[in-house]
Amino acid sequence: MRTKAIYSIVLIAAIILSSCEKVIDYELNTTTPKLVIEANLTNNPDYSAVTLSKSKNFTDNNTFEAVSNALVIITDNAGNADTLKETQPGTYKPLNMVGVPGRTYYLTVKTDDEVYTAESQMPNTVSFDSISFNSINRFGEITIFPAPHYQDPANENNYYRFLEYVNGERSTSIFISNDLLYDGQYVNQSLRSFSDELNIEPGKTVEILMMTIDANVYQYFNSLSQISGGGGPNQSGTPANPLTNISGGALGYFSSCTIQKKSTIAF
Amino acid sequence: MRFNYFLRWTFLIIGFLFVSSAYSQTKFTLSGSIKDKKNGEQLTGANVIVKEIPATGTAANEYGFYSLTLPQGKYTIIYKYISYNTDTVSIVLDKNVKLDMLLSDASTQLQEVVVSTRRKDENVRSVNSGIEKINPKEVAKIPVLMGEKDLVKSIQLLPGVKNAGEGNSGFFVRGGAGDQNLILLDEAPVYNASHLLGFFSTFNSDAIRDATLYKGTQPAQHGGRLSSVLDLKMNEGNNQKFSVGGGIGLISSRLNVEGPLGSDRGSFLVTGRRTYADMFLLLSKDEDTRKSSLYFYDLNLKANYKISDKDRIYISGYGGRDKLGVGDAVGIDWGNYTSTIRWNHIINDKLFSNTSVIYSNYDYNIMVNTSDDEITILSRIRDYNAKQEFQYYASPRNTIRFGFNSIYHEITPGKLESSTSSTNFENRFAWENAAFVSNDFKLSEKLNINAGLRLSSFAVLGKGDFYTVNNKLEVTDTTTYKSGEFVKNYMNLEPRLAVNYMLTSSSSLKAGYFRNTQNMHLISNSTSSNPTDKWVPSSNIIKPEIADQISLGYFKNFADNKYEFSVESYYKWMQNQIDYKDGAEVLQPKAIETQLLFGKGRAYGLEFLVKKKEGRFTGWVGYTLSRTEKKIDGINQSNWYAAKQDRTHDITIVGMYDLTKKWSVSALWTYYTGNAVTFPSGKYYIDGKVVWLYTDRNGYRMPDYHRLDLGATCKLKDTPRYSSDLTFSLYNAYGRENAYTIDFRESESDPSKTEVVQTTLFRWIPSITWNFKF
Repeated sequence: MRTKAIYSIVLIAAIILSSCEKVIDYELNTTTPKLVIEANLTNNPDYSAVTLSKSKNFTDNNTFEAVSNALVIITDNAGNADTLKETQPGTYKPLNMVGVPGRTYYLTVKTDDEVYTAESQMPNTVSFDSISFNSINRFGEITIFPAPHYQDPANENNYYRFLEYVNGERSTSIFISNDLLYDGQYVNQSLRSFSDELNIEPGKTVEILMMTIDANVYQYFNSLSQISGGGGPNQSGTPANPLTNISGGALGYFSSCTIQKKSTIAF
Repeated sequence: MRFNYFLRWTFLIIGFLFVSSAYSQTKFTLSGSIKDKKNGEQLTGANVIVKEIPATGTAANEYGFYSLTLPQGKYTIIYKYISYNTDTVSIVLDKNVKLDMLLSDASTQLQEVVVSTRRKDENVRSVNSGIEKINPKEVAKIPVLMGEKDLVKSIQLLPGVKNAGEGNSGFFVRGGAGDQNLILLDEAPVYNASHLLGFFSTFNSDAIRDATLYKGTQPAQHGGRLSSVLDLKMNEGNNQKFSVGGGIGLISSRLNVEGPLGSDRGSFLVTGRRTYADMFLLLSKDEDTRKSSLYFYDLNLKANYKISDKDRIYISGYGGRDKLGVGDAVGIDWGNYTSTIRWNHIINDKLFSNTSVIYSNYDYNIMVNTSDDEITILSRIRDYNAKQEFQYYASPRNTIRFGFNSIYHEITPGKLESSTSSTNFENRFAWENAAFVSNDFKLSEKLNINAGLRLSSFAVLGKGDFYTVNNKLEVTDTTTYKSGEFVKNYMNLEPRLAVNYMLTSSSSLKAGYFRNTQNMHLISNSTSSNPTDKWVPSSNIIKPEIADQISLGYFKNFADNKYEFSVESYYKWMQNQIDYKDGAEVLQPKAIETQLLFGKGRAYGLEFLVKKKEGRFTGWVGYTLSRTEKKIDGINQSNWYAAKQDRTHDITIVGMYDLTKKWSVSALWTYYTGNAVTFPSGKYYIDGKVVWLYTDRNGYRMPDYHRLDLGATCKLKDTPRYSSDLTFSLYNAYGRENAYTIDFRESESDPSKTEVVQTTLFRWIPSITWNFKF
């Protein structure tokens, strides 16, 4: 957020100093397709799923190939194991495994001859109390941001991830936070996005999913947010693939997290 | 142990030098100062030549002091300085003689000639290679962006020096990073030499007398940064009469006042500059934009006073600040303050002393006002610095410089505050010391040598927590140190050697080797200078960066030094280079070491320069062929990769032509290979969106950059009492769309596709500035 603010200033400076933008042809290299794993195991079976797909060249279209017929197994440190079932192409669901806070979960994905593994420890639940709304005036436009309320547990490192839905549509912004500044406090920080396509207006339904995630998953989303989000100042920082917790050369993440949902009408 | 060894060598060398000058017949010393008759400025580098003994002479040092020891006898001494009238004095040297000379400026009759502060063939004769001297007058006619004259931007036009991007005042020397340049303003280190996110340098050209850039072998009195030293000296001010000068430009105005202090005892100078780009914001209809701010100011002060014939005191100060703000939401301000007090003392006619006490401060504040909280980030670095230097003029063939430098650093890497709590990044303290000795001596008429040795030590001090980090970059242990306790001390011996062999009277071969170390590191993940880039000292984990450079050059002048030609090559090895790991958490509160990776670097290149220095037409052509690479474990699969500032080709052509006495025109053309950048090669779908897939670090290139700038200067009035001129410039005259950024996004017209977008900043930027002096 901080860097974004700086770049918005650079942008203003640039506009004052005159600038122009155009689409160009730039020859990019081709790539070998890589496996992409998006895996969530939560305490709510509705949100537990592993999706497998493949990466493609930049110049290709935006339809991504699902990876079917893989062997996907999740085990935990309490001796449970579950082989996930492919419910639709590329999407695998646990049959009976439900996440328990405090346990460590292990993911194994086997496709053709490759094996990918990951582990994630499910943090404790932090009670999601309510949602409030804040509005700010940004360049003459009133913008409304939702703010989840919760009590951060003291003396431990907590990491959070939020998903925001407006009238059923998901915001693609990444909302993550840690308790660096708010350890042990009652938190009601707004979910602010500088590049949000969804406009929250009074009367719209706003749903928020709150997850407690482990440090590695936080790091994944933190590094993912550095390279995504509205075209960003790509060449100012040196972009790199997000730091995955999956070994074996796949892209993506495995998160075992708690999940809570709240929904309210914006005002 | 190592230290004792060093001391023994130092004493041996010094001893040898003293002894070698002690043999021989009765000798006497001629010494004094050389100054401008009109305004009393010291003429650094003015030549003192002995007519009776060819090739014997000396040059005035940076304070205008000279000393020459000769056998007893009668001599004709010639005092000579470019664009000044030569003066000849006959003396009988049967005792030590003190002779202060005032030379009169001849440039009034030679308006068309580019004024130069150096000896005509200095490029060929000086021992050190890779030294560039720039005088504001020399570059005054080069067209500049938005009419804002900038010495640093003129330096970027030299071979071996690259700019940090479109319109940026940051620079890279011989493959080094931006933080590897030691920028000294009257001896005070300036930590962030840029304004407005890099578009302007902090150096108001009205306040600067001259700038020297050492890109090759650095003299032993300088150290602490790997790739170069940019040594800027502030104007002394006129000690003969009061005068006021200034300039009014499109985005900024300048004013300076100078005059004498006491009768012939000293002078002062005050200059100021303020930009008003933000005035345009007031035209906006939007209230938040109107409330936004975007400006900077600079203030330079300098005064000197002669206490006695042997003592002079100089006081200089600089303060500058940038303010950027977007409505009430975000505000950033940052700036430097430096001050220097110097005492020049002539101990005797052969021994000159300079004592300096220096203070530098750089800080930034960021305020982010979210709807529910206000977060501020503060970062600061402070240096308390003392320097003692002696210059001993042993004989006309032999000059020795020695001294020490001691700096106490106080670093606040960041303090993060919200309304309810505050997190302090660990404050750091360090004590940096260096002792140096260097010796200029002529072995023969053809062979000149400058040998130096610098011993640097960097003590990391408490108080604070220091960490042990494992290879997974996790903190495994924390040790707490008390205030003033030694955590770690790094000692480095830095040899410096430069050799000049005169092939003919107008050509020479120069070779050099030097080792440099750096203990203050700028951790940055951007190419342009950001106020938020973080200065971090060496710690128990961060080791001093070390560079070794060798260079070889051929220098030749033609047509009575009207034309200069040089070709230089260099190879540089760098150790303990630092970079952020992939996906680093920049706001890491405690151990920054958990976000860093270390490796090595190498840089090599070839630099050509052809320059025409005199006549109605002046200018130069410079070309650099170079390569800069890094190898850091954990980045780019631990393979070598091109550093961001790696540019294969870099060409600059500068021409200035005096059309009439009133009008002069100029042009500048530059071309360079695009910087190495990291672009995506593929893409994939995750977390509800399309995300780019990256392969090689810095595996792509920005498009090639080229640009033509045009300038014209019209003298409106030119009398001794009042002068004024108008300068016009047109930046990017043929409107080349150079890429400032290249972004990747989902196509706006067809969301099923992705596209590449280029942003261009400056095309056809005209400007006009009015300068005056009375």
